[in-house]
Amino acid sequence: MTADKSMRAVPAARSRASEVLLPVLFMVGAGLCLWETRQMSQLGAVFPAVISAGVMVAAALRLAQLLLRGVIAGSPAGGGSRPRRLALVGVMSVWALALPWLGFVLTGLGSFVALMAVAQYQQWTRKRLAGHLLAGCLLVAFFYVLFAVVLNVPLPTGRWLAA
Amino acid sequence: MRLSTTFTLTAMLAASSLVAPLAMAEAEDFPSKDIQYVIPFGPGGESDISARLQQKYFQELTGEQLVIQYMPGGGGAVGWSQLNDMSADGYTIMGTNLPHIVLKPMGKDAGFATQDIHNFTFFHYSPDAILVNADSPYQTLEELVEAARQAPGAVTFSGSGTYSANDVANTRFQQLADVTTTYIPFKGTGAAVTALLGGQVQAEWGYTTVAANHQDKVRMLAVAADERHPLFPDVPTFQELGYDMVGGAYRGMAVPAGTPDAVTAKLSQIFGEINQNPQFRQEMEDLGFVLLDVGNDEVADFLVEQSAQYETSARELGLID
Amino acid sequence: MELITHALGALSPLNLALALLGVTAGIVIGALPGLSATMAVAVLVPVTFGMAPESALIMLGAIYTGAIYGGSYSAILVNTPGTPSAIATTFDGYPMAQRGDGDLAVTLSTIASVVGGLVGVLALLLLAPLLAQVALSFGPVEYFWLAIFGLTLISALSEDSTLKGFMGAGLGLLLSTVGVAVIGGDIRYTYGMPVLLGGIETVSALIGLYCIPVLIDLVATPAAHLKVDDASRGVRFREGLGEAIRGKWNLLRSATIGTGVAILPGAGGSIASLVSYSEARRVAKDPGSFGKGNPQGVLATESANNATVGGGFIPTLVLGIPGTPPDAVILGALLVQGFRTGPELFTTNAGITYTFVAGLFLATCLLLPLGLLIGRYAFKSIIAIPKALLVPTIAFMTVIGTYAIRNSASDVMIMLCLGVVGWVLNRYGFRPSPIVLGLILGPIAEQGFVQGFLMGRASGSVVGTFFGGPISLTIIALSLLSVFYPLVKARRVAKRQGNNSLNEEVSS
Repeated sequence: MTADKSMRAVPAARSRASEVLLPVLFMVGAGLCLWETRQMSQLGAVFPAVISAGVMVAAALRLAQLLLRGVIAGSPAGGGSRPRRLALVGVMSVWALALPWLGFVLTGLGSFVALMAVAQYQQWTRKRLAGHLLAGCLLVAFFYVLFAVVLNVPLPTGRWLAA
Repeated sequence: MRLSTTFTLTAMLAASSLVAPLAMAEAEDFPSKDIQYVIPFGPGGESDISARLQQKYFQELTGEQLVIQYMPGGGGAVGWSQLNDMSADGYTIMGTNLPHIVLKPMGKDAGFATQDIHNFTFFHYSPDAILVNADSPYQTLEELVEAARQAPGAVTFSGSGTYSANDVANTRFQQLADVTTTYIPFKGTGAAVTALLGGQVQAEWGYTTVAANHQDKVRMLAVAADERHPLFPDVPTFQELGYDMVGGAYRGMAVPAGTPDAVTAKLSQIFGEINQNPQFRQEMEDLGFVLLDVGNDEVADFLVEQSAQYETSARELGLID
Repeated sequence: MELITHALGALSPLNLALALLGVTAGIVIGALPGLSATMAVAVLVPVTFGMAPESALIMLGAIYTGAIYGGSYSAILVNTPGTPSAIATTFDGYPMAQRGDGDLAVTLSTIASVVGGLVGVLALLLLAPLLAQVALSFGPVEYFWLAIFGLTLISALSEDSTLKGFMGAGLGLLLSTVGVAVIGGDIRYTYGMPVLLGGIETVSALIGLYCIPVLIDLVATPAAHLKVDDASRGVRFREGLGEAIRGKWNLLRSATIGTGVAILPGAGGSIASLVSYSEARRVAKDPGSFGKGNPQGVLATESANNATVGGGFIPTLVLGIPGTPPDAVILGALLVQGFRTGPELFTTNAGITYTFVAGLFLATCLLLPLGLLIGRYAFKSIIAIPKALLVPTIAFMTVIGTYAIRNSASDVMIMLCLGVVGWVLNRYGFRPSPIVLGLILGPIAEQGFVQGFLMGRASGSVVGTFFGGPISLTIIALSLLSVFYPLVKARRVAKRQGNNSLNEEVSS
């Protein structure tokens, strides 16, 4: 009996706790979405209401499945540098937030250099740094010309700079 | 946020005090570079097509390009809610549409208010029209109304969107003809006419432009214009048939807040002149549009007049109490 | 005879040069995420006003053809569909690239695109008026069932747990309702933020969900982005051709599906390639290998999406109803040039139509040499660029590409948020593809359902409306087949192999 159970147990993608936690989160989120449909018109509410309910059912079934069959812990979080991952997300967030204020060229150049540092694993040599920086400038220039001149996209010039 | 608002305000004040004396001189040789014309819809729609037609004449008249850009989303709301953040030097203008800019802010969270949009012209409109499939049994509007009267709710109309020009027209017509029909909103005029051509609905709330585009496949029963459209001399107006309906989708242009008055006036003058070009008039009429000459000075009165009408319809639609 | 005269008209040196230029520009634009075929065509329209109508149409068709094909590069090499049509190409293209077969994948995509493109153009030439009538028989209800059929793909796209796939698709479907509702006019889930009024832009969501996770994992280790063999193997054309010949039925089936879906104005290239992918997977002897770098997956999606170019022009030219968004722009350009669409485009105005079709044919053929050349170059540069340059370059493309879709800095923020959420969810076994599937199919399903409901209420029978038509019933049958066929097949295999594989069947 126990052997049978362990054979049927659901392997978690990561830890056992997270395997249970995520369906719960989905259920809560879908519940909130369902709650909000009360304020919508009948025609506008029917689809999100059905889908929210569907997500809740799927999450409940998943929880039931985990409960009935048991969970075995999956592979632990893969390797890799967490600080670098966070740095990448951080740099890109700052970039997106600063874009309307500082403009395309400044944020583009700044983020390029920052991301270059985040992604660099080898030792910086003077030659390599100069080469990379030059490539970065060329790339920003290329995209600027492509978008702003060829494709007529009004790239943000930066409200702080315009004032 | 607070800080940036103050900052922007100060900057705007400073900028406008600097610009004011220059404005007159500037308007003389305006435009001296390309003008960015933002369409708050996707490409291929009627706003786009009329803008494309203007492009050629704009260049002839000013020697500069009218560069068309698209900022679609939320039935225009995405563009209009950002209009006043754009550079207010007259080189950025945006297309505006009635009844959209009046009806949308009546709902919640529209992102803009009608009076925030500084229209400087309304230059044409597509009159509302009732269309049926070419092989439909309904030959006249009266026959369609009779069918709707006999089976309330059974006659289906396709149209573009909810709280749109089509929706308003349908509501108003139901009231005038004292019938109940089923209005089925589609995403855009293209989808609405597809449903008509495919026989999914009995009739469509469309425009003269739709009939012009699909001449051999649809029959127009009535047009909501003051007079019959030159392209369709046989199709009566609603007024001729006893329904007091004139309206449609009006198209205009607006500038971001703070654009110098002299420049705005010049823009209005340029597009007014394009509107007088006989070749342009012909091309627009061939596509089913009706030209309109509401310049910068008349815009305010025009809007007041139209808004009053829409308010009645909005009440009817249940959009406002 | 007439056809040949007009075809020769298309082959003037000027038109040839324009086609060459158009295809090249299209490939580059399509390969950059965020720059879509629609945008490429829209930018070109004013340029074409000064040209002869034939040349203008040839150039527009060429840039469109190139852009749809170019989308496969970024899908294969950086897991980011350059255009929405290339979503399904990431499923097998990127795993192929990761294991060192990126060059082969690009070659396969080129061959498949040429085959698919030719099938689409042939359909446009020979069957246009007939097929346009099929487009009209698809009403709201049929679109609703088509979306449901599309959603049956979830089980194929969610690797470890179908229930997780359903939750992910539900998330995508809910995301698709953000913004102003087409029906009902409600403003949903915007929480007072004007930036959300326009809803979540599909392409920015694609960039976020597919590309940001690649970036996040790229910086985490010093390992190279793609595995490379040191020895140069050229474009591996012979190998690719062999694979294509082995998959000839797959190619033809996918191209036919692509043409068929493109005729429906409400569907589009992304759905065409998704449907053909799922069909290829369903028919295959080894469905398990799909999603892990099966070359047949790339063949299926790429031949389907290029078939949509010709297929989409069928309703555009015959009915005046654009089949895909780029068609809408080209239709606008036609109207401005003074052309009326309709049957006369195939009778009285046949000259210009045949020149255009010949131009599309030419552009599709040009894909082969140009694609192999540019593809080779794209592949080599992706593997040659050091990581410290590759990461900022890809990041740069995601940001500027997302911005350019509707000139919105907020979209960049939304893209990034979705990317981070997508990365986290992926770590816990929720794949991005079901989410994207929900996002794309959501509006079709919702509008079809509510419109069908309104139509049904007006006619007195909602049930009859939804289950009445022969097309609806066919799609329902296909959906049931695609859900239950894999189960039946798995059971049969399980029976043959004994009870050992029962486990997999239950968990899949």
